[in-house]
Order: sequence, then C-alpha cells, then structure tokens
Amino acid sequence: MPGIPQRRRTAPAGAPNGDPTGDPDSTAGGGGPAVGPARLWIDWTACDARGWCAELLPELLTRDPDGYPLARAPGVRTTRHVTIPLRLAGHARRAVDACPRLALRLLPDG
Amino acid sequence: MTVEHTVEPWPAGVHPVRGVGDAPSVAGTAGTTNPPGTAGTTNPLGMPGAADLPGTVRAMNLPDTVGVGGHAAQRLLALAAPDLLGHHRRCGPLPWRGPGGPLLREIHDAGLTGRGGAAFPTWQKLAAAAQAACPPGADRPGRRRAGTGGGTGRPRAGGTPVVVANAAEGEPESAKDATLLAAAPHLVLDGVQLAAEAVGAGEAFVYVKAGSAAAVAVRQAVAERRAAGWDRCGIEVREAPATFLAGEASAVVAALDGAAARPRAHWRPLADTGLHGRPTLVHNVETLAHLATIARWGAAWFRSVGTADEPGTLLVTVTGAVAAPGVVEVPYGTPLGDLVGSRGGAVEPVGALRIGGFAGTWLPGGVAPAVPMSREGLASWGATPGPGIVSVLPARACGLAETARIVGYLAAQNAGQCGPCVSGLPQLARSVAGMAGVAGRDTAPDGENPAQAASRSLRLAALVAGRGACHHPDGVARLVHSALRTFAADIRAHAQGHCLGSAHLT
Repeated sequence: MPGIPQRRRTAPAGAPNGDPTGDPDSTAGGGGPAVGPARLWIDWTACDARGWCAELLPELLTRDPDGYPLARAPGVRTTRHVTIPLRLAGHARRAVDACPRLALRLLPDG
Repeated sequence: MTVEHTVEPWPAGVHPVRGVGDAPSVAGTAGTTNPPGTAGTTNPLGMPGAADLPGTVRAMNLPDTVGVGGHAAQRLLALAAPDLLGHHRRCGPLPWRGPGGPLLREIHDAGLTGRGGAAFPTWQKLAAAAQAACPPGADRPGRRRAGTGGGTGRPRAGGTPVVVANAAEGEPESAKDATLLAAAPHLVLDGVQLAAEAVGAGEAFVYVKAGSAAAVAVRQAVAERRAAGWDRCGIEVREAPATFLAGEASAVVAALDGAAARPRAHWRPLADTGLHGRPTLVHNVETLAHLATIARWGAAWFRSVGTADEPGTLLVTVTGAVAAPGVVEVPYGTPLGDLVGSRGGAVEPVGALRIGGFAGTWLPGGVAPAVPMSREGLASWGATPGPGIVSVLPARACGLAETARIVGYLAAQNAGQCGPCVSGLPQLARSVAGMAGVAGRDTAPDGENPAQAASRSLRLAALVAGRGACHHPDGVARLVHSALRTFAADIRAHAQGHCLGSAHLT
C-alpha cells in the first residue's frame, strides 16, 4: 500500500495526548480531549478499508479479511469504541489525522 | 450445551400453569392491579382528570387485548379512546407541568425506560435534550452549528429541541406500536406534548408506518386536536417506509430530514444534536403513552406494578404457534408461560421461544415458561425484552432453518452503508443456511458440513458485532449466538444427516 508514513514512532509535536493550545474549539480533524484517556470512534459509513489506522496503531488495531479495522483486544470486539491508553494517545491522534476518509475521531473516555 | 428440562413441555392448546379460558375472566376482575382511575384518586398532586376515571376503565376491555391472570395490568390499553372527546372523558385534560423540572423528576422517580428495544432511561434523554437546548453557562448560543467542527465531546447549544414519536415499527413481528396508536392515539399525542413542554421543543413529529391503520388514526387525532386547540406544540405526521431499519433513531432523523431512512453515523447522542443539529428526542410511541400516564397519576402509581428495578407494564406482541396471536399488556416480571397463555396458549408442543423479535434471542421451550419477561429475568439467557416480542416456535419446526430464514432477511435489510455489515451479513447468512442444511441431503459430498458451518457462523457473527453505524449487526450476531446455544443438539443431528425439529429437549 502506498503512502504509509514510515516514521510512526515519532510522536507528534506538542502535547502527546491532545490539544497543544488548550482551546478545545481549535482542535482540528476528528477533535479530541485535552487530557485523559480517550476512545477511538469509527464512522463505519465513511470507512473504506484503506488501512492507514491499522498501520499507525498496530498495538490496538488489525484488519479483517476485507481490510476494515478490527480491535485486537478480544474484549472490545463487540464494543463500539476502542479505548486508547494514554501512552498511545499521540499515535491515535496521528491515525485520526491521517485517515483519508476522515472516518476516525477521538472521544473522551466515559 | 445440555439443558435440564424440569418443566413439562407445553401440551397443545393448554398452558401448564393455567387453562386457556382463565386469563380473560381474571383480567376482567383485575383484583390485584391498580387501574389508572383508582390510583388517580390517591394522587397527591391532584392532577386534573383523575376523578373522571373510576369505573370507566374497569369496564373497558379491548376485544383483542387481555390482561394476564394474576398479573392483570391494563393501563395503556385500558385507556383506549378513538376520539378526543372519549379520551378527555377517560383521562381529563392535558396535565401541563411547565417547562423542565417537575415532569422530569416524576419520570425519573417512575423509572420509565424506552420501549423501543434499548430500554434507555427516558428521563436521561429528556434531561440531555433540555440541557443541550440551554446548556449551563452558554454565553454564545448558536455561535457554531453543532457537528460541523472539531468536537470535544461537550454538548453545545443546538437550538430548539424536536420531539419525535416513533411508530415506524420496522420489526416485522411487532404489532404493539400500531395497536397502541390505533387504540389510543390521543394518549400518545399527550405524551408528545408533555415531552415537548419538558424540553421546550418547538415542533414535534409522529413517524408512523406508511399506509397503516395507525397512520390513519393518528392523522385524524392530530386534526381533531388542532381543531380543538388542545396542543401547544405543533405536531406533524410523517410516514415511514416499511424497512427493518426505518425505525432506528438516527434513520428516523434522516427520514425527517428528507433523506433516505437509513441510520447515520453519529458520535454524539441525538438528544444533543439530531435533526438539523437540534436536540432531538426520538421516543417509541409506547414510551410516550406511559409518560402521559405518569404525568397524570404519578410515579408511585406507575411503580405499583412490575418489579422494583423494572416498574410498570409493557406491551408485548405474542406471535407464532399460539391460539390467538396479538398484543397483550403485562407488568415486567410476568413469566413467559403466562404471556403465551394470555393469547390462548401454544397450539402445539413448543420447541423454542424467541424473545425480542428478529434480532432477539432463542430460549429452549422446556425452560422458557418460568422465565420472567424482564431484563433481569432474561439476562442469564443473554436476552432482553427488546421491543416486546415473544415468538413461539413449534417443536416440529427446525430452529436452525427458522434462524437461517431470519438471518437471510436481516442480511438483505442491511442499509448498504458500513463495510463490515455489507460484506459480513450476507456471508453470515450463507453460513447459517449451511448450518440449517442436513448433511447428505442438502450438502455436496465434498461440501461444508453443518458443524463446520456452525463454527464459521460463530466466527462471522463475532466479526460483525459492534462494527456499524447502528446496532443492526449486533442484533444479527445475538440471534446467531443464541441459535448456536439453543439448537446445539440440532446442529449435531444435522451433521449426522437428520433433523430433529427443535424438539430435542422432550
């Protein structure tokens, strides 16, 4: 697959888990929490199985036989949201921003 | 899986606990219940209209609705009135409460939950819509259209709320919404008005299955109320297409928006941002009818039947191999055997019961009669009352073939929007059909064995669950999982080349 960012281990600049400016309204792309754990929400009507999210978040996501994202943890397969641990928040943010279908969004956990 | 069968299978036509003829007579005396009228006289709030009820309600009994003996509870169906005058005689005027607080507290104390299937606490939706319309500390309401920009998960001011009474009833086996709306349209419309008042809604819709008798009844009722100046919030009637997903809450919003009635992906609750970004309450019509009774007769009255955790009554459509398929109103906690008995009992030996409709859960016929119709009672079977449907499968019928038929229908009814559902459900349907086949008879010599098809079905069901904009795939997965549990012996038999029907427990 072309166009997959190769340097995924480099976390984005600024706060690793959210919004560097502190103004929630300025959050770009999928939006997200300023602090704290988060959930990854998938717009399944927009998702087209491009697979970037699974490439950027291999710890949490894999792909089903058709290429659609699939939560790795068995417990979350039947839930609607994938919980993002704090240590992966930066990578989750990159996955959200990289989705060519704009199908991902970070929501505050809870 | 093996199931102890301590309960005798149901003899044809007769319920084990009680004879067929008992139910209506017991319902007629209604000795153990608290009918709307009598409770009204003790209402501490002294709501208007309470005194109008005694006598009239007891005498009222719809020909096709009966209470269950020992659990008699005619509430919504006892308040049936075809016209506004009759409705006014039975229920009195609309008990306006003023915006916000009072009704919300009453609904909270009553413990009313949504009757469309998800059983979400009604007061929470109302509170969310009221708050989204007027969030505390909102200094710049309407500054930004909800849902257009970045989200923080915080509700934003979304304008004047909208109330929708949902009677799309896409579930093919369900008849309770149409029955209620045709019998007591004004009770439902009272609920619409009171919910609209509580959240400060500017407009309301009744979304009803196109071409149904309920649609005619509700149009008439709305016109009557308009002429009488009964309502404060305008009500518009819109017709729903007869598809399975037309009644899904976000599909309802899409339809009212002029788009196809298909679910929409939404990460914020519709009560925060729904139709045109406005806080939108989509309530099942039965929920709104209960709301209208609670507004009149109070939370304590509402809680006087049902269980402590699940108070009140619910409407149940009893269908399948029963003497008199139809709608019955029972308190939460009523044993499934009594429920089936209230519609004349099973007409032949029972193999299995399906609770909650097409996207419901199979229960073995041997144990089902004693299981209570409540979320708590059904939880150990992985089931919920759902939208209130009990389907009786005769023992001679094959539960696997029935499951295959339903999964095939549900797969065809997917909205064609979400990848895992679009590709997963047809695969799952083929796999379940393979499991319903009998080895040697329906399978090629080198083809997939029914037992192999069963394991594949399990895998595919787990793969579709939770991966869509709505809960459609979850429901299909639930049905398949319950079929694998309940009809495990049938799968073995199919793999060995014969079919048991679903009577393996006898």
